[in-house]
Formats: sequence, structure tokens, C-alpha cells
Amino acid sequence: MDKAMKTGRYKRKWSERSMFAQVMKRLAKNKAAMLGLILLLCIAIVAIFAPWIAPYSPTEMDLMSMYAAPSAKHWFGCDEVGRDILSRLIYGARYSLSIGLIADVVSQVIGVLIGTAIGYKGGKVDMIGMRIVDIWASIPSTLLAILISTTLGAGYVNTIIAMLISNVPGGIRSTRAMCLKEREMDYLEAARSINASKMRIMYKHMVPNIISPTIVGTTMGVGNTIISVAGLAYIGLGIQPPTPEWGAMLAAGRDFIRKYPHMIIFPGIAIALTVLSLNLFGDGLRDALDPKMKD
Amino acid sequence: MWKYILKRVAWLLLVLVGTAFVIFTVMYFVPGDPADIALPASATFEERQAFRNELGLNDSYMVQLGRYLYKTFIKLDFGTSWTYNVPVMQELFSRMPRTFMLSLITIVLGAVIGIPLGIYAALHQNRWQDHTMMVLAMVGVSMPEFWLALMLVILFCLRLQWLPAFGIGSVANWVLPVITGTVAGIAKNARQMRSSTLETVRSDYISTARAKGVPERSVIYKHMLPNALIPIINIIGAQFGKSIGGTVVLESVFTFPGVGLFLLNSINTRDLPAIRSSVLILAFFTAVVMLIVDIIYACIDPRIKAQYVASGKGRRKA
Repeated sequence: MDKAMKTGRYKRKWSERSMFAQVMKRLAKNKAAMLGLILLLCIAIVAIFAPWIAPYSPTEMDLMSMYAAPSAKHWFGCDEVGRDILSRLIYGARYSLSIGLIADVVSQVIGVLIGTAIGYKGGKVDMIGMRIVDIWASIPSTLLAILISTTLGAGYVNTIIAMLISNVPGGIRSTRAMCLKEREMDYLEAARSINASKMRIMYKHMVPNIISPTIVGTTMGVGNTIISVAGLAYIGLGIQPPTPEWGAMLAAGRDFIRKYPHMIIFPGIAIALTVLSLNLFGDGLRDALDPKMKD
Repeated sequence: MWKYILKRVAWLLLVLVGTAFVIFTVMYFVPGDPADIALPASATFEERQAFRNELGLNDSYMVQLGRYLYKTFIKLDFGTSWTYNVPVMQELFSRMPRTFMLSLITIVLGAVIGIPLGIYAALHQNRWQDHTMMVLAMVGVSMPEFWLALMLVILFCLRLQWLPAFGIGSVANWVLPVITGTVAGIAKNARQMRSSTLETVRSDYISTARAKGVPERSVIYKHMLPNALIPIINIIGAQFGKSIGGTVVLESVFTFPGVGLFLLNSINTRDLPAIRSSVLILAFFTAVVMLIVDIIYACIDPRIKAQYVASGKGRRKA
């Protein structure tokens, strides 16, 4: 035993302190995850500070440079009315990231709240709840999103609502499945035996134990949502041109695919890079949260 | 076992009625007057009123819902498309096989190519083969499918001019949609199979098999693979649902005349009977495939089989 410990003034290293610190340490060691995180931060910064970073306005038309190919002046070229594609992509990051984040985080929170309740309650509540979810999820989520945005119409908020409604049943299902496993654990028996209230058991004891897979699921889910939103915009639902949303840009560029492929190549790369960074980070996070998987 | 299957089939039919209810309700609130959509702009007020009366659009929500469910499930009448003026059923009959085949081919190819790649990566864990494959798989799952489709169109149809970009008729028309759909499937299956195999590698029964001197080949093929494959079956079932949903976008890129494209055209013209029926039929096929997967799953994994055969209460869907 070293001296510091005997005198009681032993100070533990930061990394020994909490579960959180340990996870962060493992995460920091994972090169792929760090690459994903850095990419993601870059995209987020670009989105937040778009007005200062973008070289041109995303809506300013320049008829002199219609269909301009990538050049030193316009790095990614220009679109059919001479708007700078790079600037539009930079502004577009705001839409994709914010829709993905809001829709996915909110649907996961709803999923956890409802999933925990029916998973813990069990019995009739579980039966009826899951039957409703069965019906809800019987329409493949992309189709459900398409239906709902047809009814609600295009637009930013409506797209978020459509994504939310189609994402929630998946969240409820996975949370409930985890809760069923947790329900029989000893620590819940202990909580019950000291007469903790149901709410306390569910949300103070159970949720922290199922939260790490949920966080990983959310990270990956944001990427999927971004792809779905782009797909919706591409088929003319969701966000509409001239808004500089990536999927909408792809939809607008589709008509010029023969002559000006640069209008399609770059928005797709933007989507793929964002989703890639989220997936890399999510993968790393899963390994860090569940070290059993990786040794 | 038969009791379990019967129960699941009965439940599937009930779910379908629920699905039809959801579809009807969501579409009930679609803005716009159907008479404006179906009739030419020159139609008089009386003609519009007559059209609305004929379709019963002036009735209350409950009456319309009841009539819709009765027609769909009892008489199996999907109605007439407002824009094309043909029975929707007839249109779906010619289109569904294409969509179904496309999904089926992509799923099967994705599994047949993806699973061995995943096993290969797992057996070479942390070596260059593993790393290259996982980087490629990561890129594969991150690309939007319709963008990949557009890139393939640019390369193979416009630049190289090897393949037609749209339509149906020859085998060549199927190549690009199949490749596009398969890439994501391969990537997903490879990733899942790799982690599933790695999980099995650490199991006690593998150590036991090795300890008692079973040759490595037979450890891999007889002990490891059957167990590692079990979770994959479930994932492939889920992929089918995704791929059916994804066909809408994919079919629109390639103008592939399947149900997805029909649905999309119907949405653009607000052709309600066509929208409702195409979504319902896609949901139906997804549900049937999921059911088959669940039954296969139960047959293969004795642990699950034991659960419901013993209790007799039926397996709860996780």
C-alpha cells in the first residue's frame, strides 16, 4: 500500500472514478470512433455557423454560372439557377442534422417511457400495449412516414412528426424486450422489498440499466432518420426545394443527371459522410459501453 | 407447434384489419376534394355531387370506414383507381410479383454474399482482411440507397452505356435495382454475422469442443456456425420489411413498374383507393414474411421451441 493511501489522502485518478469516465476512456482509445466524433463535430460546427462559413448565400442566383462545373470559384459547382452547391450543402446540414436529432431523440424518449411502463407492468397492459404496437408497426416504417407526410403535407415540422410516428414503435419494442429481461433481476426485487414506488422502480432503477443500448440505438438511429428524411424529400414529400435540404437537392438535380452529375454527387456524399460519422461513433460507443464484446 | 402457427396466422389477419383501419384513418385526413382529383376541371357542381354520392364520400367517417373494411376484407374488392379508372386489384396483381421478386432477390443475395463475408471477417479478426471488409461494410450501410442507385445510373447507363436506366422487360433492367438493393444487405449481414460469430467464439461449448480435440474445421462448421446463424435469421426477416418500404424510393429511381412506383404515382394524384390498397398489400407481404421467419426461427432454435411448446401459451413477440 503506498503512502498516500495510508494517510487517507489518496486521490483516485479521474479515469478510475465513474462508469462514465471509464466509458469515455475506452471511447477515446477507439480511433474509428474518434474519427467519427471529429467528423460529426465538424459537420455540426459547419451547420451552426453556416452564415459565416458558407462562401455564398444558399439562395442567391447567379445566372452567369448556371450549371457551372466544380472550379476554384465554386468548389462543388453550381445548380440549375446558379446557386453555389457548397453553400447549399452547408446550410442543408442544419436541416438534416436537426431533423435527425430531434425526431430520433424524442422518439427514443417516448419509446423508453412507454416501453418501460408496459415491460414492467406485464400482464394485460403488456398484452394490449404490444398488440397496438404490432398494428402500428405492421406498416413498414418508410411507408408509414410516406403516408403521414402525404396527409400532413410538406414542411420541416411535418417531416419531424412523420419520422417520429414511424420511429416510436421500434423504440417501444426494443425497450420492452430489455425490460422483460431486467424485471427478474435481484436489484429490482430488492427495490420492491423496500417498498419503492412503481414509478421509482421503473424510472430510477430500471431505466439506468437499459440506457446504454438505448443511447447506442439513438446514435445509429439519427443516421437512419437522416437517410429516410432525404428519401422522403427525394420522392417529393418532406422538405421541398428550393430549401437547401440534401434530399431535396438530389431530387432537383435528378433532372440534370445526364449532363451535370456534380449536382447529384456532392449532396449524396454529404449525406453518406454524416451518416458514416454517426455510425462510426455509435459503433465505438457500443464497444465502450459493453467491453465484454471487444477483447 | 401447429397450434402456435394457427394462432399466429389468426393474429396476422386481425393485425391486417388494424392496419387497414390505420391506413384508412391516416388517409381520411388527406387534404383536397377527391372530386377535384377524379373529375376533369370542367365538371359542374352537380357532376361533382353525383360523384361524391356514388362513392359515399358524403357519409360520416364511421360509415365510410365500415364500408371500406367490409369491401376490402369480406368482398376482397379494392375499389377502382380514380386516375386510371381500372380496378386497383388488377393493377396490383401485375405489379406485386415484380416488387416481391425484387425484394426477395436482394434479400437472398444479401444473405448469400454477406453471411460468408461476415464469417470470414470474424475468423480473421483484427487482421487486414477484417479491417478492409468492415470499412467497406461501414460505407455500405451509410450510403443512402437511392443515391447509390443514381451513381450507378451515371456510371453504367450514361457513361458506359452498358445497361438501360429504366423500365422493365429484359433481364438487364433488373441488374441495377438488384445491385443497389443488395449492397446495403451485404454490408448489414456481414457486420451482424461478424459480431454474432465473435460472440459464439467465446462460448464455453466452443472451448469444450476444442479441448476434446475436435478438428478446427469441424469446430467452425458444426459448433460455431449453426449457433451464430440464429440471430441472423431474425435480422433478415426485419430486412424484408425495410426493403419493401425502401422499394418505393428505389422503384422511383429506376422507374421500375412495381407497387412502390404505383403507390408514389397514386400519392402524387391523391388517388385514395390506390394508395390504401398498395400500402395494405405491401404490409400484408411484409407480415407474411415476418411470420414465416418467426416460424423458421422457432423451428431452428430448440430453446425458443421449448418455451411455447411447454407452456402452451404461445411465444410472446419480443
